[in-house]
Amino acid sequence: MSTQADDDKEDTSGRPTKAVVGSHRDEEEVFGKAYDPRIIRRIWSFVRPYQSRIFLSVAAVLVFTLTQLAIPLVIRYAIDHGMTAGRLDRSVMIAATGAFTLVILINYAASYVQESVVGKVAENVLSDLRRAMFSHLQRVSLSFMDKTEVGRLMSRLQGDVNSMQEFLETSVMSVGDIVLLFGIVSVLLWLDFRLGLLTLSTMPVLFVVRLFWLPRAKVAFMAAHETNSIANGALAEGIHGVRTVQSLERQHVNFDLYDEKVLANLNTHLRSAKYAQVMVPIVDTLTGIAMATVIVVGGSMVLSHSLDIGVMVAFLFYIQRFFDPIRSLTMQYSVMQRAMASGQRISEVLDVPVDVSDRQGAVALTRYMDGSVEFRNVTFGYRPNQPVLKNISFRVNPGETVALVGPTGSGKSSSMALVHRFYDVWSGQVLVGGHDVRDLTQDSLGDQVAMVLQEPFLFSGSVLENIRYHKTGASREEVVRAAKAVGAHDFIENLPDGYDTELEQRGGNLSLGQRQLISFARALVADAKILVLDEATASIDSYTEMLIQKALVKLLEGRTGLVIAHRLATIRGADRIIVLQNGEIVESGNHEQLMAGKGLYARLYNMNYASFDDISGEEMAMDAALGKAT
Amino acid sequence: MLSRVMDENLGGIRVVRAFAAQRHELEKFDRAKLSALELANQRVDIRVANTSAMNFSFLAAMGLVLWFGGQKVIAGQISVGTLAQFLTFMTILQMPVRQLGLMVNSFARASTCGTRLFELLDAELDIEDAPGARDLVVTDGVLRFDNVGFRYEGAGGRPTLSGISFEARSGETVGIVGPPGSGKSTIAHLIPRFYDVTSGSITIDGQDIREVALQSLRKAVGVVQQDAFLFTTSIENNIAYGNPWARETRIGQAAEYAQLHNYIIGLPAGYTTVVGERGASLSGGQRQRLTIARSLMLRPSVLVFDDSTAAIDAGTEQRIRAAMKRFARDRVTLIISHRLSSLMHADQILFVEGGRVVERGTHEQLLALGGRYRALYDLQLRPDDDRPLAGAA
Repeated sequence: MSTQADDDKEDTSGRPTKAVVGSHRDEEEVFGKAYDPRIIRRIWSFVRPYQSRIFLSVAAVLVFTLTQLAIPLVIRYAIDHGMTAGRLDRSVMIAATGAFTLVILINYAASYVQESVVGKVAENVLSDLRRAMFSHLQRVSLSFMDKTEVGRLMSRLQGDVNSMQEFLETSVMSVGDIVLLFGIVSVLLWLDFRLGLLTLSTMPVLFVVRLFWLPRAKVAFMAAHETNSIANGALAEGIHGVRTVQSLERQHVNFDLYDEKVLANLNTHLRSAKYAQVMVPIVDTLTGIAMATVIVVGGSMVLSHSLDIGVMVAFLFYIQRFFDPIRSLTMQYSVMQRAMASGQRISEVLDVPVDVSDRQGAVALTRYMDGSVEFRNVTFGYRPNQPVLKNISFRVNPGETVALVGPTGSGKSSSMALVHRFYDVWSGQVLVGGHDVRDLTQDSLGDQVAMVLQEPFLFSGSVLENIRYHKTGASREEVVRAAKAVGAHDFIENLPDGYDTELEQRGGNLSLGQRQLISFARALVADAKILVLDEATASIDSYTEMLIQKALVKLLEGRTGLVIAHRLATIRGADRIIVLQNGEIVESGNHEQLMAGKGLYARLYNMNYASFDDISGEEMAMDAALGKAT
Repeated sequence: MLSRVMDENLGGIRVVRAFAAQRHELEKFDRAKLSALELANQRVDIRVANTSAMNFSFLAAMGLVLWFGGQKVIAGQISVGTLAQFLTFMTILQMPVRQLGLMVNSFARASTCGTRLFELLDAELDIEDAPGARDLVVTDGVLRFDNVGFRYEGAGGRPTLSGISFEARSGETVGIVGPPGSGKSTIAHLIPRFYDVTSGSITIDGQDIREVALQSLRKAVGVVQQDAFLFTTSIENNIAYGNPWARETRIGQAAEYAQLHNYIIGLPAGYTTVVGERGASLSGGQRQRLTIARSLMLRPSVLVFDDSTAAIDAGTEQRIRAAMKRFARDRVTLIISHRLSSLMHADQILFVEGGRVVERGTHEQLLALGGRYRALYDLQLRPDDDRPLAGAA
């Protein structure tokens, strides 16, 4: 116990050496190249169906911009031709006001049309894009889905698709911005060339300033974005793990560590706010300088009668609008970069190859097949050169139940996935009803092979909907009959709304055993000839387990069953047991035969576990080694 | 709604494939998509109607200035300069007016968010140190439940626990067994004061746990949770979660007791392997063993296993128990489980049903009693096989 005494001398005053809060997630690239023709083409293919509406909105933007340009000209006309000394003319006033009214009505209509058309087209394009990704993901092979975090996919379906929205909307606007910019420049030069030139001389200053500002500001904005997500991550972790945090008395340590992250977040935000705000006074000053120029120079020109007052007023009007397009056009650059990065990720999802697809001329598997399952010299794996199944051959005769037994990683689940053709074999053949699964249509294979997974996955919706998930046409009576058959009826009836009870996400309001029973009922309603089942390993209370055992017998009645068995009762009830180890079949036969054979199965059985799953892989390997030694 | 459909689908993709239900899923997606699209279009309409109306009214105001101002200029009441001044001011005014509109908007948002924010900040702490609470002093380590009753707040009807009494001293093990929903896990939650008892009392060495400093209580009570929460960080940091100043030797020791050390050193990055949501995935049993190691780091005087060995195979559990036996001497161990093999060796076993202790005694006594415990024991035996379960030794 001397070590214990030593350990107690730990110095808890300093900074804890073994503590972090939150974790650092690699941020996905936010900015890409500003222009990537491949991605533009890809995105355009989604915009094309709305081509005519896009043209309409571009036209509306142009009309809108023209009215913007026209307003100061109308005012100038009214002043110069109707109000200057010696030229007081009421009819000009009426005409000008009429023209003004007309222009602002057109302006209103154009802005309405443009914004609402672009807005809706963008929403539609996003929706189409999302659907294309979603439906593609329904077809890509499970090997891709296995490797990819759901969260990451979701962020592509949501975040990346959303960031295209900004791009779509602003792209149309920037057409207007460019026209507005050139329009203002031309009008100014046309109204008075010298004064125009003088006023415009401030414009390059802003361009240069923004050129220097943008890259720095972007870094600051990124940093703020990142510290924000770090702080949020730490917060989320603290909330999820609150029980653990409290029971281990980590609050104080976590508080200090979180404090640091929040402080860092504050600092980066202050910095990015500084960058955002620094442009405001610069633009204001430049506007002021331009206005002062117009007033001083233009004013003296008016006094010397070389300039009309109306022109000067129009100048002042234009100067107000002058910097807007420059600002949004330089912003557009970052928007483009962001959109390209997102577009890249979206294309990646859309380009994931569909490697399990129906062969040309694939036939449909009908109900009248015999219901046999056969593996012929099957070799299969997930990573090159690492086969999970090695040259496996076995046959399950119609109506027979075969139990697959073996430690984790022995290839049980992979065999099961192959029957349903989630993956294609490397070599050999998997036959269902006498047909190679690769010659069958996937839909028909799915109809005839029902699968029950270890972790029953329920969807939000009512119990009824979940049970007839596969056969949506099943009647309520059929569903109730199935539930009764598997012994789920009683507890379903006891739910608040019986069969119409809405399940929480993933069936969170049911116990694991209950979820398993519902998934049994689901398989029964599907009424497939072949049942592939992975028994639940997690502990279920003894009563529910009894129900499940009974239900299983019912479910297998008259069906071919391939069961990954964990419970001894199931194993002993099977017609045949196949013992797998490291992707190879080590033994097969029924319980009595295997016991008499005194092989691996017999030794495992005699180790006296309640369930084969209790036996760890290490132990099994150890036992195998011992077996060889003796 | 749309995101839920997507999330469920992608999470349950195996089920979707297993039932060849892609078509069904796409239909579901399309329905959600349509309603989302409709909402989005409505949002566009509202936004556009707003901004265009705002713009239009501003321009209309300018038109009025032009019309009436123009009349006045013609009538000689004001000069052209004054009108020009007016119009220029109006263009300057455009910005603040737009800002004001935005401000009204953000004010509305801030006030709703603020309400929620302050609700959270003002939330009452229902479990707090009693005034003048002193640190818990553990001497003999006697844990005592005295007629404890508990009812979850807002849960009407019958209480979750009632009349629970037992006593255990250092070195003793108490097993608590019962059907799901019997309230056995609630007992585990009461000892570190995740909730306060509704009636009766819980004492450690005669000190009511409501009267001692919470921090000292939780340091003395280790609960190994049912669902092991791992933080996304190294294995080492996870084990040392409750004592982040700990030395490597102690972390290794805890891992050894929990029968996890051999597995960890077999990993490429050993103790620095990152686990958790975004780290390497551990099996259910390994997660539970890690949680056990984590609790051992605190050297609690009361150690509660809340159904926390369910995913650990019987052999390993036995080895964990053997390793910990040496240290069980100076602590009370409470094992809550529905697997009899986990607790049949306990000094005292309570069978809880409906929130009450219905049977108590040692394994042998309860078997002899021939009641609920016996029935459960028979149920957990192998069918047509009368040998006892593993761990009986």
